[in-house]
Amino acid sequence: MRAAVLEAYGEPVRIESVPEPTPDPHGAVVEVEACGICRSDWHAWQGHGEWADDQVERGQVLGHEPAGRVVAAGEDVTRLSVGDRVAVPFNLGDGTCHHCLNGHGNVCDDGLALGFEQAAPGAFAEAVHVPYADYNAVTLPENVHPEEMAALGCRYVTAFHALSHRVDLAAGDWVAVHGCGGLGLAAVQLAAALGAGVVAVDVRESPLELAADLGATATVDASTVPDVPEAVAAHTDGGVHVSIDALGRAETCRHSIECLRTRGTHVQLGLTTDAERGEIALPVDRMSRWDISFLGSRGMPPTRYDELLRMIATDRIDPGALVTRRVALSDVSDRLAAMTDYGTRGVEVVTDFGG
Amino acid sequence: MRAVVFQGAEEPMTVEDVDRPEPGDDDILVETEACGICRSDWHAWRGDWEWIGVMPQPGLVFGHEPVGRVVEVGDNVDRFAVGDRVTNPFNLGCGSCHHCRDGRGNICERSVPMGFVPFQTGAFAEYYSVRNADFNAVSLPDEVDPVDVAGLGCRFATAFHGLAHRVDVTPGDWVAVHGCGGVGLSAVHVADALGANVIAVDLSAEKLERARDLGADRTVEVGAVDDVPQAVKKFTESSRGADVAVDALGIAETCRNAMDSLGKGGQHLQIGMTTSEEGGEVSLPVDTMVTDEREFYGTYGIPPNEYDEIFRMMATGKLEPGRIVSETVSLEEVPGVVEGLGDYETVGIPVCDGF
Repeated sequence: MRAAVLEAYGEPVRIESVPEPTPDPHGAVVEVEACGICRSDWHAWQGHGEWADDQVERGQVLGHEPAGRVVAAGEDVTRLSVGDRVAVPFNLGDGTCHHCLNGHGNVCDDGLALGFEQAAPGAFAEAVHVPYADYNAVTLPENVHPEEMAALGCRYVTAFHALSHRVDLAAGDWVAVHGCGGLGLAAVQLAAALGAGVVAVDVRESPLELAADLGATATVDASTVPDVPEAVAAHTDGGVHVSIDALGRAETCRHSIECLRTRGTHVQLGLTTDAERGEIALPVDRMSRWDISFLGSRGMPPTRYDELLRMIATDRIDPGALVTRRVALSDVSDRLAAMTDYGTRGVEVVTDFGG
Repeated sequence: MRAVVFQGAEEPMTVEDVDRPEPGDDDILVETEACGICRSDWHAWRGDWEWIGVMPQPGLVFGHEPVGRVVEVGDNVDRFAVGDRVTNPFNLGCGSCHHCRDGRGNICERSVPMGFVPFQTGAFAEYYSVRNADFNAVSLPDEVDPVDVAGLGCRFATAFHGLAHRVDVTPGDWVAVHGCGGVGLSAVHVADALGANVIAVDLSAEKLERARDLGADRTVEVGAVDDVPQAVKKFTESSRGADVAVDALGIAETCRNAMDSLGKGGQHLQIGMTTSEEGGEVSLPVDTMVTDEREFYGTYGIPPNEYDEIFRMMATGKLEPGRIVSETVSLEEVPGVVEGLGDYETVGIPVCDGF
């Protein structure tokens, strides 16, 4: 089958012919119908992460936002049948560790990161293997359209988990979203749907327009204001309750913390680049003085997708609205390269695996 | 094997020779070392709980607070081996429903109450089986004495789950425990270990004495005061009422007294289940609950994944379930002890350890 393989950091990703996966006894093989292209793929492609022992090895099939149909299931799989439409979290749990048993499979002790390690080849391919499929694969109801399916990848569910489970968002809270890539735009749409007022921040006009369409109450173009936290505070009566760094640069992280009101909560979703190498100086004295919280958040437990799917069923959220471009497998390399200069807008999805 | 056999509501139970349970592929067979004797056994013997669908049939073997050594493991069982010492919650989960997957196996959609249904016999017997053992059974630390931890199947664990996971006990909170039977004394001990100020309430001076030993800071002897809720409130600042009140018995009077002993914003925790007197229904002051923003929480058993919290607290000496155990008896004495629970004369948890 055809698959996009990382052969050298920063060099074009090659489309190669690789063996089709066969299911482990606990696994399932999914024919990929859609797989989003995410900044995490770009980080992997750049060779980032060695500072956290998280560098993706060469030879990896990338792609971690898949949805598709089950074409084969292992003998121990009981909850899935061939033909089922499923979404697959990138954070794969084994379903049996302490965290999985407590409903936190996104941080499984023995988890795999789909598309980032050899044991879990990714979904920029015609088919992908899902380990521990009973635990990890999420069956999609028929009312989830193919366009929505394509958008239900890591970015959308990561934003959902952060806003729904990690922070205590109360009615009427202000939420700032720093960085309006796919993850940031997902956070904008979700925060608005959860009843918050949203301030979207970016340095580019076009994603800010998209953010306004998706529910942002106000937008701040960080390239035109002298002081971003002040500009956010001006829209929110002195600061926000929750702020998200959806990019992962020192600047967006600090802006996010500095635009909080007293007792506010910062959520870190974006991972850093080789400029930060995983470390950012934070204003810890100020954070102590004002009861500021800093929360990390990763992916979403497979066991809580039903909440998101219920909101789609009642038209409260529309992940499909984030999708701006559909591309072929052979375009992956170019679209990753476009991320280097922040040249993408919204969520781009591979839907053509033959081309 | 020898087992205590139920003969019908309020008929004397007898020790008989019965077939050993046959463990299925997902199950383990355990040789019983200890089993607590609980008020739930008495309820079942009396024929209570028809209103929630519990109708024990003659031939049933009770006993749902078991500890023992594994003697047989089914083909699909990975986590246990012959010789392991185990316990389990009485409420056995399927391991695959929404709640089990989300860390709340105690409220499994297909929950099976051990020792109350013919297809999952209890542990007043030389052997018992545990279904879906990988999910339900819990390995005990090597150093524990089986008799000490017999209450972990039901009473001690239920008190722990209720206080640690259902209500929000913060240090210094006033926690009133109404009813100082086995579960009430467990609640006193757990609340004390969690840093609460504990008020124990009972009719019996002897039980209140035990409650003091286990960490109660104040006691209310029901027969010695005119108004129990007021007597509880008097111990709190400006008589404003308790932060958390536990009904650890389950009769209309203790339930109402617990609710009425709360202050504004207080949380009532219902552990005890009612008798045929109430038939599952107790009238509550709903208007006051509205205007005071009081809360009522039901709590049921414990999910298997929370046991390690208890074990960690035992390892550091903060919890000592063995201190609630009052006496040990042989299988022959079990019928008499169960039948005698109606007199409310037992102090602490009686445990059968002679099979």
